Amino acid sequence: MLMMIRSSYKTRSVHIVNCLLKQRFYTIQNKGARIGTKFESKQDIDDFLDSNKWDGQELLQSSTECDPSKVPTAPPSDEMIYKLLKLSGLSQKGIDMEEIRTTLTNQIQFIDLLQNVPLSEEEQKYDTNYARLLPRDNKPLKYNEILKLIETQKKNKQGSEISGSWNPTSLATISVNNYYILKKGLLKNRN
Amino acid sequence: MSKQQLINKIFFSVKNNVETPLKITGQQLLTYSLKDNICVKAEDDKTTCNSSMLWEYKSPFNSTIYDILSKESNLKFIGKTRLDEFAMGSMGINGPNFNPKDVLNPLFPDRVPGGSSSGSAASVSGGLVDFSLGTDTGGSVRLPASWCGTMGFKPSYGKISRYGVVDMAQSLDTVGVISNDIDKIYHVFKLLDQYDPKDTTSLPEELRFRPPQQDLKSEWKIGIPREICIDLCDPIIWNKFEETLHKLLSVPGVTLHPVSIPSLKLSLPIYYTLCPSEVASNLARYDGVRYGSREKNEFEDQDNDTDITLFASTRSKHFGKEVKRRIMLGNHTLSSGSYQNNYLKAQRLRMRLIDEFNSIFQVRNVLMGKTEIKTNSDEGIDFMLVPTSLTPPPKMDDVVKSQTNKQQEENPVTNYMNDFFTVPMSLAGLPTISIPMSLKSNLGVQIVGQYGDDYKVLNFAKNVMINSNVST
Repeated sequence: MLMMIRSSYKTRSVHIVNCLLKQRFYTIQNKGARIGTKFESKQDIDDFLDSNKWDGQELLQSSTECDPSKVPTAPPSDEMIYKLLKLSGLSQKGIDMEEIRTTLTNQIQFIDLLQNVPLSEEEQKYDTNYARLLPRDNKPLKYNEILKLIETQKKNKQGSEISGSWNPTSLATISVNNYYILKKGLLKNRN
Repeated sequence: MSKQQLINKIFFSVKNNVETPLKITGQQLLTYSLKDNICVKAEDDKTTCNSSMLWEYKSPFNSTIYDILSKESNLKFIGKTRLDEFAMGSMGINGPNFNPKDVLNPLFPDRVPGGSSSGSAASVSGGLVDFSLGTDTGGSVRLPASWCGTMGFKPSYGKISRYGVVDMAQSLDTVGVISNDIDKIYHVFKLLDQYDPKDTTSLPEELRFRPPQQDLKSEWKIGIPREICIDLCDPIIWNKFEETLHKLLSVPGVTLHPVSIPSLKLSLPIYYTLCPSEVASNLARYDGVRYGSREKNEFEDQDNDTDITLFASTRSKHFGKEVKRRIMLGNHTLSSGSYQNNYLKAQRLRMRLIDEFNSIFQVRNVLMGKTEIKTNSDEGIDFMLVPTSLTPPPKMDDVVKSQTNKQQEENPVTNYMNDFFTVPMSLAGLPTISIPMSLKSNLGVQIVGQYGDDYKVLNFAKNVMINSNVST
């Protein structure tokens, strides 16, 4: 009985702390991110770090383990693996099909977690080029502006390569008379 | 261990003697090393990326960063250092013919150095050079710096030229500086912080200017994201992080605040969707025809060849296991069935993460221009504090054992978790420095600033974290 009371007391305390922590985030910023009131004491910090612990297995488990309503990620078929090997420019000879399948399944399940994340209407319209950390505030150039830029363009002395300064075929393992060689057969079978 | 033994384990090639005079004509002489994916043009110097594919590759040109450093009379280049193959890995052990005896963490010899800039961090912590340049795509400067007990700075994306740095994932790759001395990191970054017309991703000149007073504040608001409270973090790291925050609380002018960045939890799946896609695209150039290693039998005509792709045996033989895994995953993501659901979704979520970061920082992100609507900006934070790694460096013996465990070997995702604390800043391109949480410790903490606030981050690291003895 005493244990039950203690347990209930503990649960209630955790609940109160959680409620207070929710209040801590007073600044409702846009995009879902928030800033809270400053920590006043070491205990404040410790409580915050302890009470916000989350289960890292959420990332490691497949999406269906987190959400049973989701259709499980199917292991890639032989056909798909051959297709990926071809796309990757890798050999299809002497491969361990089961090892590739298991590894790919683990990797695909991991990234498939994103499929469960809903996007807002605004986010669906995003120009995804800006995910590449480019200036977002661009205005299109007008015809006259392009002409002016061409007129005032200066040649970059450092930026340009001096023609003939090096022989590209010298870097090739196999080359003949400054030509790259792909395959002997291609030459042999030409009529 | 003798200095020569240290050099053999850390360097791929040595150009100059590490035993150099300390001063030349009244100036302090600084020595440095480069990660072996940074091109240096020389008759006898190779840029191997620690890959069999580029084992004999000699670059016909210099990287911009090497050109800048070689013009400084007080800087002396020592040599090129080890890395995980094509900068893919977090242990420093990926590469051809891996032998645990060839890889070293000088201060903690039974532990792995971390990766992928393993040799860069080891050359600094072993006292062989004053600073080293590495590359950081998802944490590859900060993690090895932390595990080797030194400091690693990843500047804002686009600040340092990538021209002549071998691409891994071009929307994430950033050159970083590793040193035991924060002043040296500041000095080297200042030298390299310039627009490069040869690098199309170089930050334009007009966006580089920041009001200097921003960098020399005396009051700082620090945010602690609640999403970092993951239960997979080793208690040793967590307790040390707590202790660091306790110390900071008593520093005059510093206030600590909880912050919430919900998308931070999704950073790893976003990263491992986008990064392998870029890897697959960038590494498509290695066919062995124009440069790089070439499998000899591929030159011959084979009538019964099942590989329709001309260069398949070259790529299969000369790429390592992790590189091939990421190429295949990347091609899966980019293939028609997955592009919309995976690749574009990850791009949109990356933008969401960037927007969330922008909304908690006091200062505007220079890349956003007028598109960013800032409300209550005076209530925003200056920096975030986050541990560098989930665990202390693992023991080399344990890592070698795990490689022979089939179940662990077939699940690279558990290794990807090492990047949990470092990847969010890479996705948003934020300037971040990892410093040891105590002197010569292999437990690091990251100071993260708004995009473009590089000098502010370095000043805070020096004036508050180091000089106020928070991290000593």
